[in-house]
Amino acid sequence: MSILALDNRQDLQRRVINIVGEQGFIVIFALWALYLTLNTDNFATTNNAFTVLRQAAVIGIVAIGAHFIILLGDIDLSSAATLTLCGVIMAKLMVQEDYAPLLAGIVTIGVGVLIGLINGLIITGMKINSIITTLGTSSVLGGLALRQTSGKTIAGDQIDAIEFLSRERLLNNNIPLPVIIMFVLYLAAFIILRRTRFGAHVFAVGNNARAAWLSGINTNLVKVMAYMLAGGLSAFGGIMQVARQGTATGTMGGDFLFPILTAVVLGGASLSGGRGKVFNTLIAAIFLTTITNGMVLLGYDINTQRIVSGGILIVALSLDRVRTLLL
Amino acid sequence: MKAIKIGLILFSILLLALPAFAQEATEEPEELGSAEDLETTEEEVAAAVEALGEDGFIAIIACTYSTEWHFTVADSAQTYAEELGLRVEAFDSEIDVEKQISAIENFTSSGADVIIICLFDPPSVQSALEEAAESGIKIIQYAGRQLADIGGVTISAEDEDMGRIAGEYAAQLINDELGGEANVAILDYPDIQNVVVRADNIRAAIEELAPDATIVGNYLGGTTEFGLASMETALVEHPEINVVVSINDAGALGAVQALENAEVEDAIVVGIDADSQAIELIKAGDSYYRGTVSTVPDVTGVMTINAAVKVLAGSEIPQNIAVPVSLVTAETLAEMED
Repeated sequence: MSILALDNRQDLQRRVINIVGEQGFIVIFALWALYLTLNTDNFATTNNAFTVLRQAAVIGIVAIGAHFIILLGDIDLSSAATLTLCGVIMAKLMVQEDYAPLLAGIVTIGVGVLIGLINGLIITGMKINSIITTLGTSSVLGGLALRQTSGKTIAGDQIDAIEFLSRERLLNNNIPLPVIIMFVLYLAAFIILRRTRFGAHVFAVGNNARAAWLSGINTNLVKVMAYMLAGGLSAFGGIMQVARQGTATGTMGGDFLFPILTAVVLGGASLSGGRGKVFNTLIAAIFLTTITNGMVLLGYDINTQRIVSGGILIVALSLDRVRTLLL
Repeated sequence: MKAIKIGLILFSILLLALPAFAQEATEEPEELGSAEDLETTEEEVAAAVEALGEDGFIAIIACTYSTEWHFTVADSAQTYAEELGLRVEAFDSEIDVEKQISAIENFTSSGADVIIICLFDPPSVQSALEEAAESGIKIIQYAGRQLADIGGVTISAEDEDMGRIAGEYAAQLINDELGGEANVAILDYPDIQNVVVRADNIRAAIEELAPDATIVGNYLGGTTEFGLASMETALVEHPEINVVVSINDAGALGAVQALENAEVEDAIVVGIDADSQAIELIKAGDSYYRGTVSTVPDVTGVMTINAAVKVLAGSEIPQNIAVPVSLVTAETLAEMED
């Protein structure tokens, strides 16, 4: 074998390992989808595809905000609590205060943005670590949500007015509205990150905050704006969840934090900041949903579902490490 | 060769560890007292107030305040105690073992006379409670019976009864309205052993009383979102599901939403806990929701304080006391209104 042929072969090998490493979770996702297609009657049906996408919508939308924060090299642990509190506020405003849905929605998103502003100001102004700050605000927000509900479910006919956000189907009555909203928001996030000055600044701050500051970027402003965006998206996620379940409870987002952060990390965003593709976060959010969906379709019992889903996640997350070891 | 040896060692360790994964058997309490056994006299209340003295108090340690049931128990206990003139301090464990242990230790050192507690992880707090009991604090447990071993009084509805009543009512509806044939989904929450007992008894009652019904499977419920997501997917695989029986109302409410989203015309949903939203739907009569099982959280709260009064007054009470459990349907609600 000539040296040239050997080089070509090694180059090909390296490229394959790189693709498997960087997009490893997509490979596992594809294998998992293939397995489910072959072993269940209903996985590869339009109905199930839209069920999965609709289930992924709330986590996917909130994960956009988490993606921005992780790109900055921070972590927002308050996103699920913001979702919960804002969901409760939305439901209370509509059911107990008779606010029109649009006004209630604007106020709710405003509260989410305000929460983000507070997070951002504490982190940049007081120089407190993002994990500590958002852990603290998460506790405060969770307590406020429970205080607002007193453990009770907020329900009422008024919530029917926003059910279209979960149930409406567009484009010849085919595609659920939440799915369209999710894709539109991801497209907007992609444009912001790749085509605007703010997006470039987010990457710059995440790569090297000091260098970004020295080059004239107002790093604190970038961070505060990113947290406000994340807060607003979490609040919108809360509204979507109220529309989805028709009610609000003080614990409605309690189980969302893990999948939100996992979606971003599984999608390849670097926890140290500066690297990540927003559409990979979307694919990861959908992948996470198909794990549970597939388990139910396969008829596995609940405990087995948890073992297998944990295993799939570990394998998917390990591929990046395999790439580092092999190259 | 070395790898094989390491593999064999790890395999042996795994085999040795397997018994740790076995399920623990639940011990049945011997004889159960009732709410009547806890009825207090004015003399007993006066004696309890005197026993507390100037510095003593009753501590209430709730599992959580985040569900209607748990909130109502703790809140009604606190309100009732204050009505009786008993000093009371309440604490929310937030389903956090460390917080619960710290609360027990803090109440012990600050001079509580009675601790009324809800346990979600009994083995982890056993030693803190034993220490409290050894220092003379009386322990009253609600929503479980694990503390009988350390001399505590336990006040609890039986999960077996709740599951059986929900299952029996679902079976009755299947026989009366669906000719005995139905496709049933059970919403479960296997993280909590007590709740598994409910699911097992739901299944047993349906299998016994509606033998021609098919139980399609157990799905994750427990919260509205889990109930909703599980049922959405279950309905993709089994669109024939027309009965859902849930270990609690939160999960059942999610199932109602999933059935509505799937535009299922006729279905039957039965839950447990008697949450206000479930009762509203049952009362409205135009929902899938047909019944729930009430474990009277407000009565449970009052019973815990009555038990504390009896214990402080030195009266004799049964160690294990049953909370009454009852079925709530449109008919029972109409009777109550009349």
